[in-house]
Amino acid sequence: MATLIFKPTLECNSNCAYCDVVKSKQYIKFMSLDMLELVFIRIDEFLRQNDKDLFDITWHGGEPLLMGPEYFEAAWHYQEKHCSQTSHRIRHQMQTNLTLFTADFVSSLHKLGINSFGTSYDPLPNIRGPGEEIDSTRYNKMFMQGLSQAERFGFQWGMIYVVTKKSLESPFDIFYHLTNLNPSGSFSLNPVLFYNDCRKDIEITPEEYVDFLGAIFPVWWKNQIRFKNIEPFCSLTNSIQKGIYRLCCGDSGHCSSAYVNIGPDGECSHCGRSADWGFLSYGNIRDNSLNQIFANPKRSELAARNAVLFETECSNCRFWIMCHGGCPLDSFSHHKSFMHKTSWCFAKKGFIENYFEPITGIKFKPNEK
Amino acid sequence: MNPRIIVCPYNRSLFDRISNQILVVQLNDIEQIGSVAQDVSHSCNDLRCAVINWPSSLADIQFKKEWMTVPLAIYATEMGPFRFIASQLNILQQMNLRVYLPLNNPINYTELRILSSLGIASTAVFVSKEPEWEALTDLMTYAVMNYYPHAPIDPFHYVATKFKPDGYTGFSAVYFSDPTKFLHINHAGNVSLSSDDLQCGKFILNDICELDDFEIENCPDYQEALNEWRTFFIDNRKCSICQGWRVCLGRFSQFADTSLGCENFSTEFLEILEQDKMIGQKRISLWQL
Repeated sequence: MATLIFKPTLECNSNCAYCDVVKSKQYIKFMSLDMLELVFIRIDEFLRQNDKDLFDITWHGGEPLLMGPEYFEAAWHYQEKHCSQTSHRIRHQMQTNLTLFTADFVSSLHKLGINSFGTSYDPLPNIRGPGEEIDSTRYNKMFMQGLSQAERFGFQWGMIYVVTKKSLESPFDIFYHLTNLNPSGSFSLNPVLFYNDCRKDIEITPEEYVDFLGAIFPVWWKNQIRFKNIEPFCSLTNSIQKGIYRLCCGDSGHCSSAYVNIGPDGECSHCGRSADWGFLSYGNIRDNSLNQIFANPKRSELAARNAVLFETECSNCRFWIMCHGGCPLDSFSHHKSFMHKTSWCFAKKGFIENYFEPITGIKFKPNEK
Repeated sequence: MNPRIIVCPYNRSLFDRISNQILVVQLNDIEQIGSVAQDVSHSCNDLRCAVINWPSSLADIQFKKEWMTVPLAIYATEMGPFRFIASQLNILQQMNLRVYLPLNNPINYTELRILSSLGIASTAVFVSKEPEWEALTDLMTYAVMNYYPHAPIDPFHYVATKFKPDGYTGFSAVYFSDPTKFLHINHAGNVSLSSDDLQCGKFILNDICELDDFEIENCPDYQEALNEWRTFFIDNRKCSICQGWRVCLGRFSQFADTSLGCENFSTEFLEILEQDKMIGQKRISLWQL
């Protein structure tokens, strides 16, 4: 399955404290309709050449709803026009801050098969919000308005909470606040990540992240019926207890071949984060087919990473099967090379050894799965 | 078509302006119990229940056999002397009755339990006074976890029957104040989403006759009422970080800043409900002779 991280704009109506996208250099603010049409031509071409593949399009940004309802209507139109034989293998998803969502979007998003959103929220002040001052009060009102509209029209939603230094003081308050909003999909607690950036005010160490998760984990473990789909707890528990490994892209060990990011100007990169951080460029969709982009030689280094790490830094690590050295971009951020395990390695290992195993009494033994 | 229950005063001419609706009729006089069912039925509506605010104890009411078929909600001040209740038990236990008692008085916590043990459904009414949290928790536990025959005690029984472990379960409907279930009208036929709105003249319709063509989902006031709970989160109020939010939804917010009582109560309520759900799933049928 191929996944396109599709960023028709890098513009955003928010100025979240930890976002790399809003700081990146931009030349074209919004993808043109011509470029949008070309993307669907390329997708159809790819699916015809790979007749068993599925194609996921994750609308991302910037804030994709800035494109307006007509843009999504146009996307559906181009999909109908150019992918008439392949559209059943195309699936759309969206990551949005929801603050711009109104009833006007419902029809076009439903046409694309978008019935759920991934979103983000932070109850702490001045982390998410528009303007220099990061006006979280205004943002939170807009978010709740958008969310209520989305729920009214039957959209499901999941949420990412980005754990920052400010989160560390009150893990339970944050956990209860967000679970009380009752997301219908998953709710992920992810660490804040930076590339080449020193943000002492909000950055956290893997150890701090582990302790944040560790504070919440006993509550989740005891009340799994009440708190469904909390990540990373659910997937770790499934991995450890049932041997079901549903790993995120960075931990999967095969991100080298599955992802591509397209920006507003048609420039392709390996994934959303590589595009935000400005490396692993694979050329422009105008000049390259998706097959060419997926065959870009730069991917071969990533493809070789598993074998290298398995023989070196990660040899004999009992967590290899659920980590694979972690996200190669995190490795690059720290070591300027993909051929190392991520500095976030400790987060998974430390959480399991310091919290999961002692609290649950279940020892992770990968070879028995 | 409006699927909601209409809460309205006892007014025959008003009933005649409505048809095919389910009504909750507020009585002014206890003697109206005798005629309300027939009057509603003649107007081609259905009576969900008649509500009477009785300014004295339940024991002060002289119950009549002809009331036995009328679904009734009686708001009384207290149960009153047990011997007077006992003398009318043969009627009371056959009535379609729910007794509402306010939690403004410690004895009412006990009386709700007594009524329940007598087979009379009862409801605790929260008032502006802070509840006795310990007594309330005990009453709630009795209502949810007592598996021997007794009549329901609301709102606990209501929540226990509707409870979704991974969702919200509010209980304002027990007091006829849930806009997803009830609309309120006055003698003039003005329609509001709550009795408070009705009293302060905030109407969603000026005439009940417009109700059939009314798309309530598109009504801004209705959407606002549905989303009112979100202000707790926008304003980062204490209720937003409470473990018991799922079964409280800010109902006791006026006490949240000064007391831990409501958080402890709501959290324990949630735990009891989860425990009840688990016991329910595991309960086996006793072997039979």
